[in-house]
Parts: sequence; C-alpha cells; structure tokens
Amino acid sequence: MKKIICIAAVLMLIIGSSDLIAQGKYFTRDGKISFYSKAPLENIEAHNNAATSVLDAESGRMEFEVLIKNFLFEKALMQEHFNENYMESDKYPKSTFKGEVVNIDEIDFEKDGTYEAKVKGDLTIHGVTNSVETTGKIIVENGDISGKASFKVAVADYDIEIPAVVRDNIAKVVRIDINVDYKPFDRGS
Amino acid sequence: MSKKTWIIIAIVVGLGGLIGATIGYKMWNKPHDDIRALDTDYKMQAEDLYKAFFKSEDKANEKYLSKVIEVTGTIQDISKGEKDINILLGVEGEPGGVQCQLDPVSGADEEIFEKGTQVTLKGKCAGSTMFDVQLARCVHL
Repeated sequence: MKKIICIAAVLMLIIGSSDLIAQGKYFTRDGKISFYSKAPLENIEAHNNAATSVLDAESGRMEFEVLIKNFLFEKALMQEHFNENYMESDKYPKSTFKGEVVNIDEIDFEKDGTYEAKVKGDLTIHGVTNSVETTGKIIVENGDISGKASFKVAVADYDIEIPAVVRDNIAKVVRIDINVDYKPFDRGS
Repeated sequence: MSKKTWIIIAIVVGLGGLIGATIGYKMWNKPHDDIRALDTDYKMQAEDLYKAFFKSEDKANEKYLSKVIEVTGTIQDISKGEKDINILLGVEGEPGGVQCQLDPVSGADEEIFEKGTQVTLKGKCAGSTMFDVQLARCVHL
C-alpha cells in the first residue's frame, strides 16, 4: 500500500497535468551508474545499467533510485562481499538521491548545448542519508536530454565498514560516475 | 627435536601454506554462478511479481529478494547499451513492469529479442524501483 502511495506521489509530481505527455518531465529506467575504488593492492569497479531517474525540467526536481544487487563486478567474491558485508543489500536493497538542479533556469531544454548543472539533495546509501552537492552536465542534442556527473563518496560517511584484512583492497573514498539518457515521460512509457 | 622432525614440520607447514594459498586464490577468482544451473525458487508471471512488489515492497523483498525467479511476460521494451541489454516485460495498465538485465557473464546479452513476443527469463531478484521490479543476470529459457 505504501508503495502504491509512493508511486502515485511520484507520478503526480512528474505528470502534474492530465496531458498524455507531461510537459518538461523526463525519465529513464536504464541509467548507468559505476563506481571505482583505487587502493594499493587492487582497483575495483562495478557497473549498474538499470538506474531509475526522473527529472522535472520546469522545477529542477531530480530523483534517482538504484538497486544494489544490480551492480556487477568482475570478481564474484567481491560482489558477494559488497552485498553481504559492506552494503548489506538484503537490509538496504536500494540507494536513492532526492534533490534538484538548483540552476535549472540556466538550462535551455529547447536549445542544443552542454549546460553545467548544479545538483543538490539527499543521498541515501546503506540506510544513511547525507546532504550532497555536485556539478554535472545536462546535454541537449536534437531533442535528446542526457545527464552526466562524477563525484566522490567517503564510505565511512554511510556507516560502511571495511574489514582490516581488506583495507588495502578497498579505497576509503570511491568515485561514482553517472550517465543517463532521459526520455520524455508519457503514460505509455 | 631431531633434524628429521624439523624437516617433517617444515614440509607439513609448507604444504599447508601452499594448499591455503591455492584455496585462497581459487576463492578470490571464483567465477560468477551459472544462472541456468541454479535451482529456481519461483516461477511466475511478470504481472504477479509486479503486483506483489507494488502492493507491499517490504513483504515482497522479504519473499523474493535475491531469489532465483523464472518470470514469463511479453516484451514491452528492449534497451541496448554499449555492453548491456535490458528487457522490460510489461504489465497491462501499469506504467512499469519487470525489468530484466541480461547476463553478460553467460553471453545472454548476445541473443536477439523482439518486442511483443512472450518470453521466460530467469534471473535473481534485485528488488524494485519507483517504476519496475528488477531481475539481475537474466538468461533466456
């Protein structure tokens, strides 16, 4: 029931009218999120190609959801440790971002170009929420809207404990890259 | 202790170390599960899995998260990236469905699919987002 109310709220937020195509509303269910850890003994990377995001081009409202179990690692054992020990993904199956593009007025979604996007909001990982700010890009090209960003996260800020035995295998600060291609939101999407 | 005893101890310790290192190396480099070989926990229609999550995410996570599910549905959308393919099994009257990330490890992402066809895909349940239920590492049955 809570899920239905949440979905209804998201849909109301991004539709905002009874039109079939919600003006200035964009979404994706195939966003790409990668993270990279550089440590003395090993470099680790993992990729998730099924992040969900919505963007309201009028208000600047932006949300992301990504399921932890959808991150794929080259090494199966690292993926297991990531899910079971570090992220505890059975307890916290998703990470979310809820915020806004604070300079949305400086972005012209009707005109091709690469625009700086200042993003601010709440990032929740491993059940812990922190306020974050970063600068990314919104690219408008032939009517297509895409977004890119790269920022760093200190794992300790999200109560993620790295055991001493693998401390030289995993970085204390990891880099997260985001790459999304948005589509206009309509009821048939 | 005699020299012979020390030699035996050294051999046993050396062998133990070698066996331990070999096991450690194999574990560190163990391959991902072969999804096709895993036992299936649930066989269901995409609509039923979707409705379970959107009725109660917590209860559905408790039941289905990390479980191996064979899900049957009609392909509503296919999204291809550089190294990935996602297949969306639609649910009539709903904005979302069951999104299946094809498994690059087993080469499932090299298959060809068509919109509108009915398929059965097997993967591990990763949970649900604001739009869809997601299965990871899916293979086509």
